[in-house]
Amino acid sequence: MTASKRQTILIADDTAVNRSMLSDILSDDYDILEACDGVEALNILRRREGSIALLLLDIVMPNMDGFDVLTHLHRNHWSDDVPVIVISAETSPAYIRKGFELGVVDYVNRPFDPEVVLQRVRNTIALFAKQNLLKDLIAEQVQEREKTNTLMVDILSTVVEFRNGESGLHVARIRIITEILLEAMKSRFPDYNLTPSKIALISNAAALHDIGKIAIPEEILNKPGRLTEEEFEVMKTHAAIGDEMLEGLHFGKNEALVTCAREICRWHHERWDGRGYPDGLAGEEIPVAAQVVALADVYDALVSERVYKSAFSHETAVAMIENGECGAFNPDLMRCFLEEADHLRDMVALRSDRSLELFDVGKLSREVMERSEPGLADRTVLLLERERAKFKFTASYFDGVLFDYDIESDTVVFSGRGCERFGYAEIVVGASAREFLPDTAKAIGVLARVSENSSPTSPVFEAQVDLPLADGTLLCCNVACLVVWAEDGDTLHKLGVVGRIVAVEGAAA
Amino acid sequence: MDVRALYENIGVDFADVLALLRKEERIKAYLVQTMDDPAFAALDSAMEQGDHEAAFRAAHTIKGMSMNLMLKPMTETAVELVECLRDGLAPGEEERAHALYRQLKASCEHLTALVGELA
Repeated sequence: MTASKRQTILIADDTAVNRSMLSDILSDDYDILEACDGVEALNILRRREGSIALLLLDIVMPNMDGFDVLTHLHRNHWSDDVPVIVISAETSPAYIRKGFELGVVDYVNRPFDPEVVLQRVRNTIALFAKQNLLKDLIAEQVQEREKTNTLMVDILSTVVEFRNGESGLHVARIRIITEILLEAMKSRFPDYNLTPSKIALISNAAALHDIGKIAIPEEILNKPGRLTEEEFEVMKTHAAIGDEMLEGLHFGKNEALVTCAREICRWHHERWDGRGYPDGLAGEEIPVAAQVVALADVYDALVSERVYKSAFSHETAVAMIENGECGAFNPDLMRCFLEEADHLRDMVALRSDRSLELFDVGKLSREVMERSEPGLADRTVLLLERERAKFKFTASYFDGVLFDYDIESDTVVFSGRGCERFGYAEIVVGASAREFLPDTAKAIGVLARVSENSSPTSPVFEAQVDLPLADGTLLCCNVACLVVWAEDGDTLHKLGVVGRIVAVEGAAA
Repeated sequence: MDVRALYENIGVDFADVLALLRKEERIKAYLVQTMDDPAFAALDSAMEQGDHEAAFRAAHTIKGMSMNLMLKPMTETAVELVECLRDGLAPGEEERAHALYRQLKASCEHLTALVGELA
């Protein structure tokens, strides 16, 4: 929170005198932006995302009315960030109710008392600021706690691995592979009810899967050759021992992490066909957590070097698992493993980098404790504003035209010195339906054809077209565009197009 | 004519208006801006062309503006016209809508004249 900074309020009302009245009330304490209809309001919200502290909204407006604006805000979860107060001459309860259903914070009827409006605006902004501060604090604390938890588990399991003659990387990789497999299960099989917090819990507990090995004699644990039948029987006891060790905890034995770790310790050597140990559970009798860790453990053991074997390649390991040479697994899980197998190696490498973060925990927590800097959300807004200022400055010295087309709002924003020469307004709403560039059907056709060939991997295209200037003459221009793509779950969609227009060298106006 | 006299002329207690909007100068400025609003012309042409949706919006704007400044006679007629035009015009309501429109136009014109006389 930066108390010194003036906050910005957006007033959306089609009637000039209504905007003046509200602006007069609020402009002593706030910076005011005005919009004449819903489309302009959404546009300003989009362009100034994060920097609008409050929206004062009229309901009956041309182009896009207040309810449409609210629906849009609600659908895109903007109303979580921008509080809305409706100011309307509408007094019918149905209207007011509809407003509140769409996420309105407050409803003010006409004629309004200026003092009351000012007070309600102040309260709403203060409330939202406090809420945001709390959200930041909680997010940071949760992150912090997660890190500490993870660190403790990692220390414990690395001690076990160390005795086992391994580096501790096995623990880190088991955690990551388990996480990847669970995420794959979650997206493909909703019936397993895997939530993000459950996935985090199981992945964390997975690191403890072999703690029972601490009770196995070292000469068996680190024997370079094949184990005898008796030795193997001793080795097998590590599963039940791990479970029993955790059962014997004085504190925390009812914690979710501990119960989950017990399942994993005890049953990560069970097999789907019932031929595993120690209990010979079969199929769904084996908890999902243990099923997933079992597969992760097998895969990582195959691709790692051990005292009794050298490392197999990723491809060989996958083939061996698929052929059933290394156990029997839940077919759903097997499907996830095989479908993710190509990415598995890369992702393990990528996510392993995160383990480095662990050791910054101390530094991070000090930062939280001594924090006088703005919170996460505020920092983002500051950065955004800085970027906008930089862009504005650069654009003001650019001789051509820069444009930013947003598909969702169907709006183009023009900037650059060339705008005047071309006769482009700063903002054009309903761009695809309107002929905002007179006589440009031909040029647009060329651009549309070239843009069809763009893709997320090659989003940039260029074209040379004749564009009409404000005075009607044609000018040969070079148009360079970048199609902006956004990831939405598994699918990619076009967000918009940004680009620049410059006159081709030597072309006369 | 001053603002107080204007409100007396249309039968509204100026003390109430002043209690809400505090400054006489400001009220005067809002009155001028209100009577300049394009909504009045928009209502005229919408009624002429039978565009009930546009007429509803314009009448709604007039209703809001007159509520802001507690212009009682204009508010009352505007409220009735807005309700008459809401969700399109019901059959047989044409006559009533036009009567309300004429009444609203008359009080708007009266007010415009008064605002023109403000010193």
